[in-house]
Amino acid sequence: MFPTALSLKIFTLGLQNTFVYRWNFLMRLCMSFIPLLGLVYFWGAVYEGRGGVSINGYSYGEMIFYFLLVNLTQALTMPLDDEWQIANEIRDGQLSQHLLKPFNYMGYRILLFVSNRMVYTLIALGPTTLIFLYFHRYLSTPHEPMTWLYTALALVLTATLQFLISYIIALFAFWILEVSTLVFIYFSLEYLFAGHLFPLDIMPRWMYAIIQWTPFPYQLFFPIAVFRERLSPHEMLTGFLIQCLWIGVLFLCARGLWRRGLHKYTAVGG
Amino acid sequence: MQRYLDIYRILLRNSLIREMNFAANFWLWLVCEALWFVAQVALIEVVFLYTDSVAGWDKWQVVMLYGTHHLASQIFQAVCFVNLVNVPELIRTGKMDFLMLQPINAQFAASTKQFGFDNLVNAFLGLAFVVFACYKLSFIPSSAQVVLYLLAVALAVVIHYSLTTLLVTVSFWIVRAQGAVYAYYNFMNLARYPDAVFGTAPAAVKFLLTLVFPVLLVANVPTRLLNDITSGPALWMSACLLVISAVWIFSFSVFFWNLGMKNYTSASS
Repeated sequence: MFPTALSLKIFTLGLQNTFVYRWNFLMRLCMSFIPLLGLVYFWGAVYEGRGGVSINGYSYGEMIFYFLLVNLTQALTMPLDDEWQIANEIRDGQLSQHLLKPFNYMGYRILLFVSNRMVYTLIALGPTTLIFLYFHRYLSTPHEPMTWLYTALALVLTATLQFLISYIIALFAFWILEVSTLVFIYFSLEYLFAGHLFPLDIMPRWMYAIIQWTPFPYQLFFPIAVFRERLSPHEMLTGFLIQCLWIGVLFLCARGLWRRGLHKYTAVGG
Repeated sequence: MQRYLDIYRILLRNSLIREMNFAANFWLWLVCEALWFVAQVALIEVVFLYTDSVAGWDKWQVVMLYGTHHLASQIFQAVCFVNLVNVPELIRTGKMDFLMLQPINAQFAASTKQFGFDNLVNAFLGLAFVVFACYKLSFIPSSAQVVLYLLAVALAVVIHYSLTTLLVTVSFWIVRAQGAVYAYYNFMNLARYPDAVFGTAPAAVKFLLTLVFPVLLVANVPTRLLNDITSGPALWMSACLLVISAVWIFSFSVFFWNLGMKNYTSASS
C-alpha cells in the first residue's frame, strides 16, 4: 500500500508527536488505576458474601487478574485521541492538506495509531509492571504454549477492530458537526458489552449468546478469554471467525463512508 | 444577591434557547448519560445473580445508592460541569479576560455560563430509580429522612463542584490540563460503591477517600440517611464528615481559584 520509506517517515512522525504528550499519558495512565482500587474492595465484599465460592469459574484472585488484564489490553489496543483528531481534521478543513498528499488517508491514520499505541505501551510499561507486581499472587500464565500465539493474534485483531470503529465514528464528521455524542454513546455500549464492568461469561447465558455476535466482545473480552484459556477450541475458532468477519464488514463500511464523505466535504475554513 | 439571581435567570433563558437550537444534540446527550447509568445498573443485576448482599447492602439498597449518585452528579453537571471543563480552554486562549472584565465574581461567571437541561432530565432519572428502589424495599421514608436526604444531596453537589473546580484550577499553572475531566470521572467511579465495602482498606485509603477526596461520602451518606443503613462506618460520623469536607473543600477551592487568578497572565492572540 505504502512505500516502506514513506511508512517509516509517517511512523516516526507519529512517535515524535505522541512523545510530546508523555506526561499527559503518564497522568492518564496513573488515573486509570484509581477505579481498580474500588474493584478490589467491591469484588472482595461480593466474594465474602458468597463465602469465597467462585463465580462461574472465577475465583476472587482470577477476577482481580481479569481486571488487570482489562487495563493492559486497553493500553495495548484502545485508540486514545484518534477519533477526535480525525473528526477535527474533517470539521476544520485540515483534511485538505492530507488529500493533496500522495497517500491513502486511512493508511496514514493506521500508521499513526500504531505508533501512538507503541509509545503509550512503552510509557505504560513501568506503572503496569508495578501494579502487576503488587498483585503478583493472583497472576498466572497459560498452560499451553500456543495460547501466547493465539493471544497475540487476538490482540492484533482487537486493535484493528478498535481502530476501524473509531475511524468510522470519526467519519460521521462529514455529515454532523459534533461527533462526541456518537463517540460516548458507542462507548457506553462498549463499556457494558465488551467486558469493562465484568467478565462477559458471568452474565446470563442467553444474553452472552446474543452478544457474541456483536463486535463488542472482540474489542476487549475475547483476547483476555483466549489468554485465560476459558474457551474451547471450537469457541475460540468461532470467536476468531466472527472477529475477522466484523473487521471485513467494518473495513468496507469505512471505505464506503469515506467515498461518500469526500463528496460531501467542503473544506471549511480551508 | 438579587443581582446574581437576575443574572442567573438570564443565563438559564439563554441556555434554553441554545438547547432548543440544537435539539438533536440535546436528545443525544440525554440518551448518552442515561445509557451510562443503565450500564452501571446492569452491573448490579449481574452481581446480585451470585450473591444476596454486598457488605450488608442488599440489591435495592445498592440501586438506591446508584440512583442517588446519579441524582447528585447530574444536578452538578447540569449547573456547572460543561463550564468548568471549559476553563482550561479559556485560560489557554486568553478568553478568561472577558470573564474577568465583567462586574461579577469571575468564579461565578466561569461556573454558570451554560445550563445543561439534558443533565436535569437525567437527575430525575436517578431520582426515579431511588423511588423505585424504595418501592421494591416496601419502604416509605419519614419526612425527617427525606429532609436529611435532600440536605446531604445538596452537600454532595457542593463537593462535586469543589473537587472539579480544584482539578480545573490547576490549568492556571499547567496549561495542558485537559486531564481534569478524566480525573473527575475516575475518582467519582469510586462513589458508587457502598462504603462498607472498604471496611478492610488501610486507614490511609479511607482517610484519602473520605476527607481529601470525599468520594465515599457523596452518595453513601444521603442513601444511608434515607434508608437507615447501619452496615459500614458509624452513620453520624460519616454525616459529620460530609459536612466538614463540604465546607473545607469548598473554601479551599475558592482560595485555590483566587490564587490561580492571581497567577493568570492572559495569552497573546
